[in-house]
Amino acid sequence: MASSSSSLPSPSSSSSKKFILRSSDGKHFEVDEAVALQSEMIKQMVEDGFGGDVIPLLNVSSIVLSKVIDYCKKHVELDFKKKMDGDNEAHEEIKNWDSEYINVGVDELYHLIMAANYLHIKGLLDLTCQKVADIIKGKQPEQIRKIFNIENDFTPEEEQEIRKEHSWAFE
Amino acid sequence: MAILEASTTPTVENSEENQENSEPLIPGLPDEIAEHCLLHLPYPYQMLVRSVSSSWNRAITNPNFLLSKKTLSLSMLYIFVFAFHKPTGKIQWQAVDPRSGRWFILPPMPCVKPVCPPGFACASLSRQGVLYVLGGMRSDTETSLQTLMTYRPAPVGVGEVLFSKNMQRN
Repeated sequence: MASSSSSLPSPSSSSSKKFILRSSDGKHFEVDEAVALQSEMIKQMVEDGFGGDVIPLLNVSSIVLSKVIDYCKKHVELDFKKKMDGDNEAHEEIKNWDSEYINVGVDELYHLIMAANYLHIKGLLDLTCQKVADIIKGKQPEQIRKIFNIENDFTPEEEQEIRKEHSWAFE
Repeated sequence: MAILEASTTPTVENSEENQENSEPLIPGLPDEIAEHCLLHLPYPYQMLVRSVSSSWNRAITNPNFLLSKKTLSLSMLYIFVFAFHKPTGKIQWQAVDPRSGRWFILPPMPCVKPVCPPGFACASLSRQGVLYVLGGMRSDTETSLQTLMTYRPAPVGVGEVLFSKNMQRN
């Protein structure tokens, strides 16, 4: 492999280095090194010597990958901003951007969770799992089953029994 | 100081033998990931959604689930309120989520002896999911309860620790 000479690029060269990611449906995405390395899985691959080639991501479709790349790009940008402008302002911006980004339907959310898990992007995994939790939070079991297509396998008595143990105090 | 066996058994079933045939927690997601999502749900909300399905009930009441939560540092601050209803003499623990302002009724505290709620000295502090409740006045003999109750609002198990006499103030 031609480019295996520098496995640890210096900070100055890191911004110019590019990676090509290939989605499961064969589309290519060129991204900055810093963006690609948001993924622990890609980072590991690069450390193992895959750096110069196209990186195949067998479990991520182009639609999902492009959305994941959006996340990584933004977070690289915001991390940089955080260093320059100080924590508070950037923190607020990250929060707002994330909540806008994750405002998606359940199916898309599942795809993002699976991609974040496969690519080992901790921030995105936490964000997506938190979104599922936020959807669940404050809803009645019946609504939750409907949203997530879950079958109720309790007998009415069993369900009643569990509900009796934990109920809303005032409702 | 002595530690007694809990006289009330928690109503939790840790039936792991059924695990194989059980439905997925969230269809479309591997259980491991679905569980990770449930871990992001604040504590009282987790308890409320136990009745979604038997696999949810099993996952949430599994002691490992609470351990993972602790490891992930996802615990959040709650205000616990010890309430009693004068006319009925009933006592009840409630929790407030300060972020949403919602109130939750917590499972009953294991009270092995009849107690007189207003006399219940409840200096309590919570640590690692356990509330320590100091003994109050017995309603039948009107003598003070020489007990310290440990109360876990989460269904992990309950125990009672007896105070030795010289530790009892009042």
